[in-house]
Amino acid sequence: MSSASITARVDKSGPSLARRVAGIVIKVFVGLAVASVYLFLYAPPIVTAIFSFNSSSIQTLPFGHATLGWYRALLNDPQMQAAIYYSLKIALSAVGIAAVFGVAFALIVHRVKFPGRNVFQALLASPLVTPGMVLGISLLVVFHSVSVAPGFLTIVIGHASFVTPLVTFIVLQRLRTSDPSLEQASMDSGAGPLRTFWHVTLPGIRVPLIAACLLGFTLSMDEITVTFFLAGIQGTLPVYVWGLLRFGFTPEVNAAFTIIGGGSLLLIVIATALLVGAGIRPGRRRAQRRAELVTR
Amino acid sequence: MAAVATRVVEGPSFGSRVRSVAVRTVLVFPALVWVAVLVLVPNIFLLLYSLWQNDLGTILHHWNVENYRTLFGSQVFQVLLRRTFLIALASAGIATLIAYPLAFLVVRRFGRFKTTAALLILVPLWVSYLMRVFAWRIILGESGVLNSFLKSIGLISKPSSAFLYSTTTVIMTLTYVAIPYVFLVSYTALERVPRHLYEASGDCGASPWRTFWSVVWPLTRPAVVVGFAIGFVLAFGDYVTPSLVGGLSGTMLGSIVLQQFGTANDWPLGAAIAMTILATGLLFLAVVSFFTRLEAQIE
Repeated sequence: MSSASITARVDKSGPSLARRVAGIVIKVFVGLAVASVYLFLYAPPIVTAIFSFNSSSIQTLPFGHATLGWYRALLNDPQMQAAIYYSLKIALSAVGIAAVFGVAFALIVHRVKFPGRNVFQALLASPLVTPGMVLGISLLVVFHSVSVAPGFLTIVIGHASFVTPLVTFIVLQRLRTSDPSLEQASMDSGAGPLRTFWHVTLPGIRVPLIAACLLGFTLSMDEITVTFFLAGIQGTLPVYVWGLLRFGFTPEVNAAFTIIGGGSLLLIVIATALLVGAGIRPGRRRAQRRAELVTR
Repeated sequence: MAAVATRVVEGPSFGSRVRSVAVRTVLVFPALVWVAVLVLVPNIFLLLYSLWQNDLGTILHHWNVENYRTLFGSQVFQVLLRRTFLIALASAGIATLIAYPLAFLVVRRFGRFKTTAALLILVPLWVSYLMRVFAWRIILGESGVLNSFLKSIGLISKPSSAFLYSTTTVIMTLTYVAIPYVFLVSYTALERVPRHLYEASGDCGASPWRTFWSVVWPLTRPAVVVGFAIGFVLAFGDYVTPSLVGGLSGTMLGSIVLQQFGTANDWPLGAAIAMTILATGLLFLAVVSFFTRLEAQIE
Protein backbone atom coordinates (compact mmCIF):
# COMPACT_ATOMS: atom_id res chain seq x y z
CA MET A 1 0.00 0.00 0.00
CA SER A 2 2.60 2.57 1.04
CA SER A 3 5.07 1.40 -1.59
CA ALA A 4 2.39 1.78 -4.26
CA SER A 5 1.72 5.35 -3.26
CA ILE A 6 5.43 6.12 -3.26
CA THR A 7 5.92 4.73 -6.77
CA ALA A 8 2.91 6.64 -7.94
CA ARG A 9 4.38 9.84 -6.57
CA VAL A 10 7.75 9.14 -8.16
CA ASP A 11 6.17 8.33 -11.51
CA LYS A 12 4.25 11.59 -11.65
CA SER A 13 7.17 13.71 -10.47
CA GLY A 14 4.78 16.37 -9.17
CA PRO A 15 1.79 18.00 -10.80
CA SER A 16 2.24 19.68 -14.15
CA LEU A 17 2.77 23.42 -14.43
CA ALA A 18 -0.72 23.98 -15.83
CA ARG A 19 -2.19 22.16 -12.91
CA ARG A 20 -0.20 24.13 -10.41
CA VAL A 21 -1.29 27.41 -12.01
CA ALA A 22 -4.90 26.28 -11.94
CA GLY A 23 -4.51 25.43 -8.25
CA ILE A 24 -3.13 28.88 -7.49
CA VAL A 25 -5.91 30.56 -9.47
CA ILE A 26 -8.54 28.61 -7.54
CA LYS A 27 -6.87 29.49 -4.24
CA VAL A 28 -6.77 33.19 -5.09
CA PHE A 29 -10.38 33.08 -6.21
CA VAL A 30 -11.54 31.34 -3.03
CA GLY A 31 -9.45 33.71 -0.93
CA LEU A 32 -11.06 36.70 -2.58
CA ALA A 33 -14.52 35.21 -2.06
CA VAL A 34 -13.85 34.69 1.66
CA ALA A 35 -12.40 38.18 2.00
CA SER A 36 -15.45 39.68 0.30
CA VAL A 37 -17.78 37.96 2.78
CA TYR A 38 -15.83 39.50 5.64
CA LEU A 39 -15.94 42.87 3.89
CA PHE A 40 -19.70 42.47 3.41
CA LEU A 41 -20.14 41.73 7.12
CA TYR A 42 -17.95 44.55 8.35
CA ALA A 43 -18.84 47.31 5.88
CA PRO A 44 -21.91 48.61 7.79
CA PRO A 45 -20.35 48.96 11.24
CA ILE A 46 -17.18 50.47 9.79
CA VAL A 47 -19.14 52.94 7.67
CA THR A 48 -21.16 54.00 10.73
CA ALA A 49 -18.04 54.48 12.82
CA ILE A 50 -16.39 56.54 10.07
CA PHE A 51 -19.46 58.71 9.56
CA SER A 52 -19.66 59.43 13.28
CA PHE A 53 -16.49 61.50 12.80
CA ASN A 54 -17.77 63.25 9.66
CA SER A 55 -18.54 66.96 10.12
CA SER A 56 -21.25 67.05 7.45
CA SER A 57 -24.72 66.32 8.78
CA ILE A 58 -25.83 64.65 5.52
CA GLN A 59 -24.93 60.98 5.33
CA THR A 60 -23.14 61.15 1.99
CA LEU A 61 -19.73 61.39 0.44
CA PRO A 62 -17.64 63.43 -0.02
CA PHE A 63 -16.47 63.47 3.55
CA GLY A 64 -16.39 66.81 5.37
CA HIS A 65 -13.60 67.14 7.89
CA ALA A 66 -13.00 64.92 10.87
CA THR A 67 -14.70 66.03 14.05
CA LEU A 68 -15.69 64.87 17.50
CA GLY A 69 -18.64 67.24 17.36
CA TRP A 70 -21.28 64.53 17.23
CA TYR A 71 -19.89 62.90 20.34
CA ARG A 72 -19.95 66.28 22.04
CA ALA A 73 -23.53 66.82 20.87
CA LEU A 74 -24.38 63.41 22.29
CA LEU A 75 -23.11 64.48 25.70
CA ASN A 76 -25.38 67.53 25.57
CA ASP A 77 -28.52 65.77 24.36
CA PRO A 78 -30.79 65.11 27.37
CA GLN A 79 -33.27 62.96 25.39
CA MET A 80 -30.59 60.67 24.05
CA GLN A 81 -29.03 60.42 27.49
CA ALA A 82 -32.38 59.62 29.06
CA ALA A 83 -32.83 56.85 26.49
CA ILE A 84 -29.35 55.41 27.15
CA TYR A 85 -29.89 55.57 30.92
CA TYR A 86 -33.30 53.88 30.55
CA SER A 87 -31.81 51.14 28.38
CA LEU A 88 -29.07 50.50 30.93
CA LYS A 89 -31.61 50.31 33.76
CA ILE A 90 -33.76 47.87 31.82
CA ALA A 91 -30.83 45.72 30.74
CA LEU A 92 -29.51 45.50 34.31
CA SER A 93 -32.94 44.60 35.73
CA ALA A 94 -33.67 42.03 33.02
CA VAL A 95 -30.26 40.42 33.41
CA GLY A 96 -30.66 40.37 37.20
CA ILE A 97 -33.97 38.53 36.92
CA ALA A 98 -32.59 36.26 34.21
CA ALA A 99 -29.52 35.35 36.26
CA VAL A 100 -31.58 34.24 39.28
CA PHE A 101 -34.28 32.37 37.34
CA GLY A 102 -31.92 31.13 34.65
CA VAL A 103 -29.69 29.40 37.18
CA ALA A 104 -32.68 28.06 39.09
CA PHE A 105 -34.21 26.59 35.91
CA ALA A 106 -30.87 25.12 34.85
CA LEU A 107 -30.58 23.38 38.23
CA ILE A 108 -34.18 22.16 38.04
CA VAL A 109 -33.76 20.78 34.53
CA HIS A 110 -30.45 19.21 35.46
CA ARG A 111 -31.43 17.68 38.83
CA VAL A 112 -35.15 17.13 39.03
CA LYS A 113 -36.73 14.47 36.87
CA PHE A 114 -40.29 15.40 36.07
CA PRO A 115 -42.66 14.39 33.33
CA GLY A 116 -42.60 16.75 30.36
CA ARG A 117 -39.09 18.01 31.05
CA ASN A 118 -38.25 18.19 27.35
CA VAL A 119 -41.48 20.04 26.61
CA PHE A 120 -40.62 22.46 29.39
CA GLN A 121 -37.18 23.09 27.88
CA ALA A 122 -38.62 23.66 24.41
CA LEU A 123 -41.24 26.08 25.76
CA LEU A 124 -38.66 27.90 27.87
CA ALA A 125 -36.44 28.34 24.81
CA SER A 126 -39.22 29.42 22.48
CA PRO A 127 -38.95 33.21 23.16
CA LEU A 128 -35.37 32.98 21.90
CA VAL A 129 -36.53 31.81 18.47
CA THR A 130 -39.99 33.35 18.02
CA PRO A 131 -39.93 36.38 15.75
CA GLY A 132 -39.55 39.41 18.02
CA MET A 133 -42.69 40.97 16.63
CA VAL A 134 -44.85 37.97 17.58
CA LEU A 135 -43.31 37.80 21.06
CA GLY A 136 -43.84 41.54 21.57
CA ILE A 137 -47.45 41.49 20.43
CA SER A 138 -48.36 38.37 22.39
CA LEU A 139 -46.99 39.92 25.60
CA LEU A 140 -48.66 43.23 24.78
CA VAL A 141 -52.12 41.68 24.50
CA VAL A 142 -51.64 39.93 27.86
CA PHE A 143 -50.48 43.11 29.59
CA HIS A 144 -53.35 44.98 27.98
CA SER A 145 -55.90 42.40 29.16
CA VAL A 146 -54.75 42.67 32.77
CA SER A 147 -54.50 46.49 32.44
CA VAL A 148 -50.76 46.81 32.96
CA ALA A 149 -49.69 50.01 31.22
CA PRO A 150 -46.65 49.68 28.95
CA GLY A 151 -43.49 50.96 30.56
CA PHE A 152 -40.47 49.89 32.55
CA LEU A 153 -42.02 46.73 34.00
CA THR A 154 -43.40 45.43 30.72
CA ILE A 155 -40.09 45.93 28.89
CA VAL A 156 -38.12 44.23 31.68
CA ILE A 157 -40.47 41.24 31.62
CA GLY A 158 -40.25 41.09 27.83
CA HIS A 159 -36.46 41.10 27.91
CA ALA A 160 -36.26 38.64 30.79
CA SER A 161 -38.40 36.23 28.76
CA PHE A 162 -35.60 35.70 26.24
CA VAL A 163 -32.50 36.41 28.36
CA THR A 164 -33.51 33.82 30.97
CA PRO A 165 -33.45 30.82 28.57
CA LEU A 166 -30.09 32.07 27.31
CA VAL A 167 -28.70 31.91 30.85
CA THR A 168 -30.40 28.57 31.49
CA PHE A 169 -28.93 26.84 28.46
CA ILE A 170 -25.41 28.22 28.85
CA VAL A 171 -25.33 27.24 32.54
CA LEU A 172 -26.92 23.88 31.79
CA GLN A 173 -24.13 23.14 29.34
CA ARG A 174 -21.64 23.51 32.17
CA LEU A 175 -23.70 21.55 34.71
CA ARG A 176 -23.84 18.59 32.33
CA THR A 177 -20.07 18.39 32.12
CA SER A 178 -19.43 19.08 35.81
CA ASP A 179 -18.57 16.44 38.35
CA PRO A 180 -21.54 15.55 40.59
CA SER A 181 -19.29 13.98 43.22
CA LEU A 182 -18.19 17.43 44.39
CA GLU A 183 -21.69 18.27 45.54
CA GLN A 184 -22.27 14.83 46.97
CA ALA A 185 -19.02 15.19 48.94
CA SER A 186 -20.17 18.52 50.26
CA MET A 187 -23.57 17.14 51.27
CA ASP A 188 -22.02 14.03 52.80
CA SER A 189 -19.80 16.24 54.91
CA GLY A 190 -22.85 17.83 56.43
CA ALA A 191 -23.20 21.01 54.41
CA GLY A 192 -26.85 21.80 53.75
CA PRO A 193 -28.23 22.32 50.23
CA LEU A 194 -27.87 26.11 50.52
CA ARG A 195 -24.29 25.96 51.74
CA THR A 196 -23.43 23.44 49.05
CA PHE A 197 -24.97 25.68 46.41
CA TRP A 198 -23.11 28.72 47.65
CA HIS A 199 -19.71 27.11 48.13
CA VAL A 200 -19.64 24.38 45.48
CA THR A 201 -22.27 24.73 42.76
CA LEU A 202 -22.16 28.49 42.27
CA PRO A 203 -18.35 28.78 42.02
CA GLY A 204 -18.48 25.94 39.48
CA ILE A 205 -20.91 27.74 37.17
CA ARG A 206 -19.64 31.25 37.83
CA VAL A 207 -17.77 31.66 34.56
CA PRO A 208 -20.57 30.58 32.19
CA LEU A 209 -23.02 32.57 34.31
CA ILE A 210 -21.02 35.78 33.95
CA ALA A 211 -20.56 35.15 30.23
CA ALA A 212 -24.30 34.52 29.77
CA CYS A 213 -25.13 37.70 31.70
CA LEU A 214 -22.82 39.74 29.47
CA LEU A 215 -24.39 38.25 26.34
CA GLY A 216 -27.87 38.86 27.74
CA PHE A 217 -26.94 42.43 28.61
CA THR A 218 -25.89 43.23 25.04
CA LEU A 219 -28.99 41.50 23.66
CA SER A 220 -31.20 43.57 25.93
CA MET A 221 -29.40 46.83 25.11
CA ASP A 222 -29.90 46.21 21.39
CA GLU A 223 -33.42 44.77 21.39
CA ILE A 224 -35.98 46.65 19.32
CA THR A 225 -38.62 44.35 17.81
CA VAL A 226 -40.04 43.20 21.17
CA THR A 227 -39.37 46.47 23.00
CA PHE A 228 -41.18 48.55 20.41
CA PHE A 229 -44.53 47.07 21.44
CA LEU A 230 -43.86 47.10 25.18
CA ALA A 231 -42.44 50.61 25.58
CA GLY A 232 -44.48 53.44 27.02
CA ILE A 233 -43.72 57.13 26.52
CA GLN A 234 -40.05 56.77 27.40
CA GLY A 235 -38.34 54.56 24.82
CA THR A 236 -35.15 52.58 25.18
CA LEU A 237 -32.19 53.72 23.11
CA PRO A 238 -33.02 51.56 20.05
CA VAL A 239 -36.68 52.62 20.16
CA TYR A 240 -35.70 56.28 20.47
CA VAL A 241 -33.20 55.94 17.61
CA TRP A 242 -35.78 54.09 15.52
CA GLY A 243 -37.91 57.22 15.77
CA LEU A 244 -34.95 59.39 14.81
CA LEU A 245 -34.06 57.23 11.82
CA ARG A 246 -37.45 57.87 10.34
CA PHE A 247 -37.97 61.48 11.36
CA GLY A 248 -35.06 63.78 12.00
CA PHE A 249 -31.86 61.81 11.81
CA THR A 250 -28.64 63.44 13.02
CA PRO A 251 -25.14 61.91 12.92
CA GLU A 252 -25.34 61.84 16.71
CA VAL A 253 -27.02 58.51 16.12
CA ASN A 254 -23.84 57.26 14.44
CA ALA A 255 -21.85 58.42 17.45
CA ALA A 256 -24.24 56.70 19.87
CA PHE A 257 -24.12 53.47 17.83
CA THR A 258 -20.35 53.57 17.66
CA ILE A 259 -20.12 53.90 21.43
CA ILE A 260 -22.70 51.17 22.05
CA GLY A 261 -21.14 48.93 19.37
CA GLY A 262 -17.69 49.41 20.87
CA GLY A 263 -19.06 48.72 24.36
CA SER A 264 -20.87 45.58 23.20
CA LEU A 265 -17.76 44.32 21.47
CA LEU A 266 -15.78 44.84 24.64
CA LEU A 267 -18.37 42.86 26.65
CA ILE A 268 -18.39 40.14 23.99
CA VAL A 269 -14.62 39.84 24.02
CA ILE A 270 -14.74 39.49 27.81
CA ALA A 271 -17.56 36.93 27.63
CA THR A 272 -15.78 34.89 24.95
CA ALA A 273 -12.51 34.99 26.80
CA LEU A 274 -14.35 33.75 29.88
CA LEU A 275 -16.12 30.96 27.98
CA VAL A 276 -13.35 29.56 25.79
CA GLY A 277 -10.29 30.94 27.51
CA ALA A 278 -8.30 29.61 30.40
CA GLY A 279 -11.00 30.90 32.74
CA ILE A 280 -12.69 27.51 32.68
CA ARG A 281 -10.04 25.61 34.54
CA PRO A 282 -9.06 27.95 37.37
CA GLY A 283 -12.73 28.40 38.21
CA ARG A 284 -13.19 24.70 38.39
CA ARG A 285 -10.06 24.17 40.44
CA ARG A 286 -11.22 26.84 42.85
CA ALA A 287 -14.55 25.12 43.14
CA GLN A 288 -12.75 21.89 43.83
CA ARG A 289 -10.60 23.55 46.47
CA ARG A 290 -13.71 24.99 48.12
CA ALA A 291 -15.32 21.60 48.05
CA GLU A 292 -12.26 20.21 49.74
CA LEU A 293 -12.46 22.93 52.38
CA VAL A 294 -16.11 22.23 52.99
CA THR A 295 -15.54 18.53 53.25
CA ARG A 296 -12.68 18.93 55.66
CA MET B 1 -26.32 1.28 57.08
CA ALA B 2 -29.68 0.14 58.31
CA ALA B 3 -31.38 2.59 56.00
CA VAL B 4 -29.54 1.15 53.04
CA ALA B 5 -30.57 -2.34 54.00
CA THR B 6 -34.24 -1.45 54.29
CA ARG B 7 -34.16 0.32 51.00
CA VAL B 8 -32.69 -2.67 49.29
CA VAL B 9 -35.26 -5.00 50.76
CA GLU B 10 -38.45 -2.97 50.56
CA GLY B 11 -37.75 -0.02 48.24
CA PRO B 12 -38.76 3.46 49.35
CA SER B 13 -41.79 3.50 51.62
CA PHE B 14 -45.03 5.01 50.43
CA GLY B 15 -44.54 8.02 52.70
CA SER B 16 -41.09 8.87 51.37
CA ARG B 17 -42.27 8.45 47.81
CA VAL B 18 -45.09 10.91 48.40
CA ARG B 19 -42.65 13.27 50.07
CA SER B 20 -40.24 13.10 47.14
CA VAL B 21 -43.03 13.78 44.66
CA ALA B 22 -44.17 16.71 46.81
CA VAL B 23 -40.64 18.14 46.98
CA ARG B 24 -40.24 17.77 43.24
CA THR B 25 -43.56 19.50 42.62
CA VAL B 26 -42.58 22.42 44.84
CA LEU B 27 -39.24 22.72 43.05
CA VAL B 28 -40.66 22.52 39.55
CA PHE B 29 -43.71 24.69 40.21
CA PRO B 30 -42.05 28.12 39.72
CA ALA B 31 -40.53 26.93 36.46
CA LEU B 32 -43.91 25.80 35.18
CA VAL B 33 -45.50 29.09 36.24
CA TRP B 34 -42.80 30.99 34.35
CA VAL B 35 -43.39 29.05 31.16
CA ALA B 36 -47.17 29.30 31.54
CA VAL B 37 -47.16 33.06 32.12
CA LEU B 38 -44.50 34.08 29.60
CA VAL B 39 -45.01 31.53 26.83
CA LEU B 40 -48.31 29.68 26.94
CA VAL B 41 -50.68 32.45 28.05
CA PRO B 42 -49.30 35.06 25.61
CA ASN B 43 -49.63 32.71 22.66
CA ILE B 44 -53.13 31.67 23.68
CA PHE B 45 -54.11 35.32 24.08
CA LEU B 46 -52.71 36.09 20.66
CA LEU B 47 -54.89 33.36 19.21
CA LEU B 48 -57.94 34.63 21.13
CA TYR B 49 -57.39 38.19 19.96
CA SER B 50 -57.19 37.03 16.38
CA LEU B 51 -60.65 35.48 16.82
CA TRP B 52 -62.20 38.61 18.35
CA GLN B 53 -63.40 41.70 16.51
CA ASN B 54 -62.36 45.30 16.47
CA ASP B 55 -65.07 47.92 16.80
CA LEU B 56 -63.71 51.46 16.56
CA GLY B 57 -60.76 50.69 18.78
CA THR B 58 -62.60 48.59 21.37
CA ILE B 59 -62.55 44.84 21.26
CA LEU B 60 -65.75 42.86 20.78
CA HIS B 61 -65.55 39.35 22.18
CA HIS B 62 -67.37 37.71 19.30
CA TRP B 63 -65.81 34.41 18.36
CA ASN B 64 -65.32 33.92 14.66
CA VAL B 65 -62.73 33.75 11.92
CA GLU B 66 -63.84 37.01 10.33
CA ASN B 67 -60.32 38.50 10.64
CA TYR B 68 -58.79 35.63 8.75
CA ARG B 69 -61.51 35.80 6.12
CA THR B 70 -60.86 39.52 5.68
CA LEU B 71 -57.13 38.88 5.40
CA PHE B 72 -57.19 36.05 2.91
CA GLY B 73 -59.87 37.82 0.87
CA SER B 74 -57.67 40.89 0.57
CA GLN B 75 -55.53 41.27 -2.52
CA VAL B 76 -52.94 43.33 -0.64
CA PHE B 77 -52.52 40.71 2.06
CA GLN B 78 -52.08 37.92 -0.47
CA VAL B 79 -49.44 39.87 -2.37
CA LEU B 80 -47.62 40.72 0.86
CA LEU B 81 -47.80 37.17 2.17
CA ARG B 82 -46.35 35.78 -1.05
CA ARG B 83 -43.70 38.48 -1.21
CA THR B 84 -42.71 38.05 2.44
CA PHE B 85 -42.46 34.29 1.96
CA LEU B 86 -40.31 34.66 -1.16
CA ILE B 87 -38.07 37.31 0.41
CA ALA B 88 -37.51 35.16 3.50
CA LEU B 89 -36.88 32.09 1.35
CA ALA B 90 -34.41 33.92 -0.88
CA SER B 91 -32.48 35.62 1.90
CA ALA B 92 -32.22 32.48 4.05
CA GLY B 93 -31.23 30.47 0.95
CA ILE B 94 -28.53 32.89 -0.18
CA ALA B 95 -27.23 33.22 3.39
CA THR B 96 -26.95 29.41 3.57
CA LEU B 97 -25.19 29.25 0.20
CA ILE B 98 -22.63 31.74 1.49
CA ALA B 99 -22.29 30.70 5.13
CA TYR B 100 -22.07 26.92 4.78
CA PRO B 101 -19.20 26.82 2.25
CA LEU B 102 -17.50 29.52 4.28
CA ALA B 103 -17.84 27.45 7.45
CA PHE B 104 -16.45 24.45 5.55
CA LEU B 105 -13.43 26.44 4.40
CA VAL B 106 -12.85 27.85 7.88
CA VAL B 107 -13.00 24.41 9.50
CA ARG B 108 -10.88 22.63 6.87
CA ARG B 109 -8.42 25.26 5.70
CA PHE B 110 -7.86 27.88 8.37
CA GLY B 111 -5.79 25.70 10.69
CA ARG B 112 -5.06 27.39 13.98
CA PHE B 113 -6.81 30.61 12.89
CA LYS B 114 -10.07 28.71 12.70
CA THR B 115 -11.54 29.93 15.99
CA THR B 116 -10.54 33.52 15.35
CA ALA B 117 -12.00 33.42 11.84
CA ALA B 118 -15.25 31.97 13.19
CA LEU B 119 -15.51 34.56 15.97
CA LEU B 120 -14.94 37.35 13.45
CA ILE B 121 -18.02 36.19 11.54
CA LEU B 122 -20.11 36.26 14.72
CA VAL B 123 -18.97 39.64 16.00
CA PRO B 124 -21.35 41.69 13.79
CA LEU B 125 -24.26 39.95 15.56
CA TRP B 126 -23.52 42.10 18.55
CA VAL B 127 -23.22 45.36 16.74
CA SER B 128 -26.58 47.09 17.03
CA TYR B 129 -29.09 45.55 14.64
CA LEU B 130 -30.62 48.92 13.81
CA MET B 131 -27.23 50.32 13.02
CA ARG B 132 -26.28 47.45 10.74
CA VAL B 133 -29.47 47.86 8.75
CA PHE B 134 -29.34 51.64 8.74
CA ALA B 135 -25.72 51.67 7.58
CA TRP B 136 -26.87 49.99 4.35
CA ARG B 137 -28.90 53.10 3.70
CA ILE B 138 -25.73 55.19 3.99
CA ILE B 139 -23.91 52.77 1.68
CA LEU B 140 -26.59 52.21 -0.95
CA GLY B 141 -28.31 55.61 -1.02
CA GLU B 142 -28.43 57.83 -4.07
CA SER B 143 -25.45 59.87 -2.85
CA GLY B 144 -24.12 57.03 -0.74
CA VAL B 145 -20.78 55.35 -0.48
CA LEU B 146 -21.36 52.83 -3.28
CA ASN B 147 -22.56 55.43 -5.79
CA SER B 148 -19.65 57.76 -5.01
CA PHE B 149 -17.24 54.88 -5.41
CA LEU B 150 -18.71 53.70 -8.72
CA LYS B 151 -18.69 57.27 -10.00
CA SER B 152 -15.10 57.86 -9.00
CA ILE B 153 -13.91 54.79 -10.90
CA GLY B 154 -15.99 55.87 -13.87
CA LEU B 155 -18.35 52.91 -13.95
CA ILE B 156 -21.46 55.09 -13.85
CA SER B 157 -21.84 58.71 -14.92
CA LYS B 158 -24.57 59.81 -12.55
CA PRO B 159 -25.67 58.41 -9.18
CA SER B 160 -28.18 55.61 -9.45
CA SER B 161 -31.15 55.33 -7.13
CA ALA B 162 -31.58 51.68 -8.05
CA PHE B 163 -29.61 50.30 -5.08
CA LEU B 164 -31.96 51.39 -2.32
CA TYR B 165 -35.66 50.87 -1.62
CA SER B 166 -36.35 47.69 -3.55
CA THR B 167 -37.10 44.04 -2.90
CA THR B 168 -33.49 43.24 -3.80
CA THR B 169 -32.20 45.59 -1.12
CA VAL B 170 -34.42 43.93 1.47
CA ILE B 171 -33.21 40.48 0.41
CA MET B 172 -29.59 41.59 0.55
CA THR B 173 -29.94 43.16 3.99
CA LEU B 174 -31.79 40.17 5.41
CA THR B 175 -29.13 37.89 3.92
CA TYR B 176 -26.58 40.05 5.66
CA VAL B 177 -28.44 39.64 8.96
CA ALA B 178 -28.82 35.85 8.57
CA ILE B 179 -25.24 34.94 7.57
CA PRO B 180 -23.76 34.88 11.10
CA TYR B 181 -26.56 32.63 12.40
CA VAL B 182 -26.31 30.11 9.56
CA PHE B 183 -22.54 30.22 9.88
CA LEU B 184 -22.65 29.51 13.62
CA VAL B 185 -24.85 26.44 13.20
CA SER B 186 -22.94 25.11 10.16
CA TYR B 187 -19.58 25.68 11.82
CA THR B 188 -20.57 23.81 14.98
CA ALA B 189 -21.76 20.83 12.93
CA LEU B 190 -18.76 20.76 10.58
CA GLU B 191 -16.37 20.96 13.49
CA ARG B 192 -17.90 17.84 14.98
CA VAL B 193 -17.13 15.75 11.88
CA PRO B 194 -13.99 13.87 12.92
CA ARG B 195 -10.95 14.39 10.72
CA HIS B 196 -10.39 10.64 10.29
CA LEU B 197 -13.63 10.39 8.31
CA TYR B 198 -12.12 12.62 5.62
CA GLU B 199 -8.94 10.56 5.68
CA ALA B 200 -10.75 7.25 5.53
CA SER B 201 -12.86 8.40 2.62
CA GLY B 202 -9.78 9.66 0.79
CA ASP B 203 -7.91 6.43 1.48
CA CYS B 204 -10.78 4.49 -0.07
CA GLY B 205 -10.18 6.45 -3.25
CA ALA B 206 -13.00 8.98 -3.02
CA SER B 207 -12.32 12.38 -4.51
CA PRO B 208 -12.71 15.38 -2.15
CA TRP B 209 -15.95 16.12 -3.99
CA ARG B 210 -17.28 12.62 -3.39
CA THR B 211 -16.11 12.72 0.24
CA PHE B 212 -18.09 15.87 0.71
CA TRP B 213 -21.33 14.57 -0.82
CA SER B 214 -21.21 11.06 0.66
CA VAL B 215 -19.72 11.76 4.08
CA VAL B 216 -19.73 15.37 5.20
CA TRP B 217 -23.02 16.58 3.74
CA PRO B 218 -25.20 13.78 5.17
CA LEU B 219 -23.70 14.42 8.61
CA THR B 220 -24.12 18.19 8.57
CA ARG B 221 -27.32 18.54 6.57
CA PRO B 222 -29.67 18.74 9.58
CA ALA B 223 -27.61 21.59 11.04
CA VAL B 224 -27.72 23.43 7.73
CA VAL B 225 -31.48 23.07 7.77
CA VAL B 226 -31.64 24.49 11.29
CA GLY B 227 -29.51 27.44 10.19
CA PHE B 228 -31.63 27.96 7.11
CA ALA B 229 -34.79 27.80 9.22
CA ILE B 230 -33.45 30.36 11.70
CA GLY B 231 -32.66 32.69 8.80
CA PHE B 232 -36.12 32.15 7.36
CA VAL B 233 -37.96 32.84 10.62
CA LEU B 234 -35.84 35.92 11.35
CA ALA B 235 -36.59 37.35 7.93
CA PHE B 236 -40.25 36.34 7.88
CA GLY B 237 -41.15 38.28 11.03
CA ASP B 238 -38.98 41.31 10.44
CA TYR B 239 -40.34 44.82 10.15
CA VAL B 240 -37.25 46.89 10.87
CA THR B 241 -35.38 46.03 7.68
CA PRO B 242 -38.25 46.52 5.22
CA SER B 243 -39.21 49.86 6.71
CA LEU B 244 -35.62 51.15 6.68
CA VAL B 245 -34.39 49.94 3.29
CA GLY B 246 -37.44 48.51 1.55
CA GLY B 247 -39.43 51.49 0.38
CA LEU B 248 -42.83 50.73 -1.06
CA SER B 249 -41.89 47.72 -3.18
CA GLY B 250 -40.10 46.13 -0.22
CA THR B 251 -43.01 46.26 2.25
CA MET B 252 -43.49 43.01 4.16
CA LEU B 253 -46.12 41.50 6.44
CA GLY B 254 -44.40 42.87 9.54
CA SER B 255 -45.02 46.42 8.40
CA ILE B 256 -48.78 45.95 8.26
CA VAL B 257 -48.83 44.28 11.69
CA LEU B 258 -47.14 47.41 12.97
CA GLN B 259 -49.84 49.48 11.27
CA GLN B 260 -52.65 47.51 12.92
CA PHE B 261 -51.12 48.04 16.35
CA GLY B 262 -50.32 51.68 15.56
CA THR B 263 -52.27 54.03 13.35
CA ALA B 264 -54.97 51.59 12.22
CA ASN B 265 -55.58 50.51 15.84
CA ASP B 266 -57.13 47.17 14.91
CA TRP B 267 -55.47 44.77 17.33
CA PRO B 268 -57.51 41.69 16.44
CA LEU B 269 -56.59 42.01 12.77
CA GLY B 270 -52.94 42.59 13.71
CA ALA B 271 -53.07 39.51 15.94
CA ALA B 272 -54.47 37.50 13.04
CA ILE B 273 -51.56 38.57 10.83
CA ALA B 274 -49.10 37.73 13.61
CA MET B 275 -50.74 34.30 13.99
CA THR B 276 -50.39 33.80 10.23
CA ILE B 277 -46.69 34.66 10.49
CA LEU B 278 -46.25 32.27 13.41
CA ALA B 279 -48.19 29.46 11.73
CA THR B 280 -46.36 29.87 8.42
CA GLY B 281 -43.05 29.80 10.25
CA LEU B 282 -43.93 26.63 12.17
CA LEU B 283 -45.38 24.93 9.09
CA PHE B 284 -42.29 25.78 7.09
CA LEU B 285 -40.01 24.42 9.82
CA ALA B 286 -42.03 21.21 10.01
CA VAL B 287 -41.89 20.65 6.23
CA VAL B 288 -38.21 21.47 5.95
CA SER B 289 -37.19 19.28 8.86
CA PHE B 290 -39.37 16.44 7.58
CA PHE B 291 -37.54 16.36 4.27
CA THR B 292 -34.10 16.55 5.78
CA ARG B 293 -34.23 14.03 8.57
CA LEU B 294 -30.91 12.88 9.94
CA GLU B 295 -29.51 10.08 7.81
CA ALA B 296 -26.43 9.36 9.85
CA GLN B 297 -25.05 10.21 13.24
CA ILE B 298 -21.58 10.99 14.50
CA GLU B 299 -20.69 8.47 17.14
